[in-house]
Amino acid sequence: MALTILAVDDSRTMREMVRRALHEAGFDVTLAEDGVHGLEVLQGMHATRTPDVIITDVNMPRMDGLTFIEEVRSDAGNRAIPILVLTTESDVEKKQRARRAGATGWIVKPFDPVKLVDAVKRVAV
Amino acid sequence: MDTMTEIRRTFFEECAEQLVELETGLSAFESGTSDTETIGVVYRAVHSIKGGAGAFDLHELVRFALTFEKVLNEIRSDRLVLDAGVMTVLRRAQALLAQLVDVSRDKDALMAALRAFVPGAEEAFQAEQAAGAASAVASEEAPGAEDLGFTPVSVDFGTMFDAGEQRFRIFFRPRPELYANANESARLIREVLALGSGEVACDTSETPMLDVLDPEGAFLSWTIELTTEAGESAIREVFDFAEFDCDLEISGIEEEASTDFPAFETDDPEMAALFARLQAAG
Repeated sequence: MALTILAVDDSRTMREMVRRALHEAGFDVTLAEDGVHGLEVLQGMHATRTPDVIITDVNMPRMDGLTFIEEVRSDAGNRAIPILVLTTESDVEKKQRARRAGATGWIVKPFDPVKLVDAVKRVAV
Repeated sequence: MDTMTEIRRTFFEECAEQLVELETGLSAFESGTSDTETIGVVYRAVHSIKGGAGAFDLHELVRFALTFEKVLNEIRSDRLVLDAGVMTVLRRAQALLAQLVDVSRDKDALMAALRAFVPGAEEAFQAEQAAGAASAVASEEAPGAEDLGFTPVSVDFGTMFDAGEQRFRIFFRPRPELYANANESARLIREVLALGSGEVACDTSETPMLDVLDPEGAFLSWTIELTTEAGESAIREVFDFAEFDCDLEISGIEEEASTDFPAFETDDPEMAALFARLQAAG
């Protein structure tokens, strides 16, 4: 069965690039526009199929990526879902903040589609 | 229209929207509104342009937006006061950012339109592009081969010392945070073993009895002895997502040198004393 991915990003450009890369790798991709929308979509997905991996941007309106991760992790049912942070920032402090929020790993933008797919496969146990 | 062209068009549509957001935010600044939300709108506008520009290799736009973004981050972090002087610079930066977006969007199409007015210009441009691409391929394959009389081999100094088969001992002890963030020891160990061949030993001695065991704790550690041609950097890459959430020690395993001295017989007392000292020193 194809992996199911929830990708959260406020940029249409980034959402489309992520969708395209993952779709070409054979994954099912569901998109959300910010953290609030991401939580709503995730709630809906639980009724059908919980995502195998979540990918989220950091800087977003309404609810940023780190708050989104904390909200996702606050539900015990979501603790096993790997979450990858898609970020333009790669310094240790930013990685530590993402980790403290509950991120499993990170991908630096602009991303190589092959590396994005590899990262998803690595964390999807 | 191919997919990348379509995404590129989406990017420039988003740039136009972000420039409107930027204008709204800067106008609010001038009206005396510089709350967290307004600063966030301005920051995200510039940040989004930078992020998308990176995906399309628009380097000049990325560099400028990055500097602009850093200034906005200083304001957001209360390290820079938003006074009239700063505001003037922000307005100039806004104007230049818009120009760079225009240039990035229109330059290639406009140059093609200009070439169309000059006989042979398009053909010359295409030939130049093809020659440039061929030259790039040739230089990647064999830089300067025709001058040197041999085919140089490119050397990656980051990995040259990883060449050849080596043995490593990897000690890996996850902390509870590793599991809380949905990382998984078994996956990491599998990835390490995929780099070569090896044996894994699990240390369960720290595991408490079931009645006092914290189900969210981490009590196991592993020692992996790996034989690989991949090198230490490849092993560390496996743990890049887990680097803050585990104890990790990687060391090379040297073949143990023999300390047995060959039999040595002599009638010379000085030589006998020297040999005795060597044996004592091991």
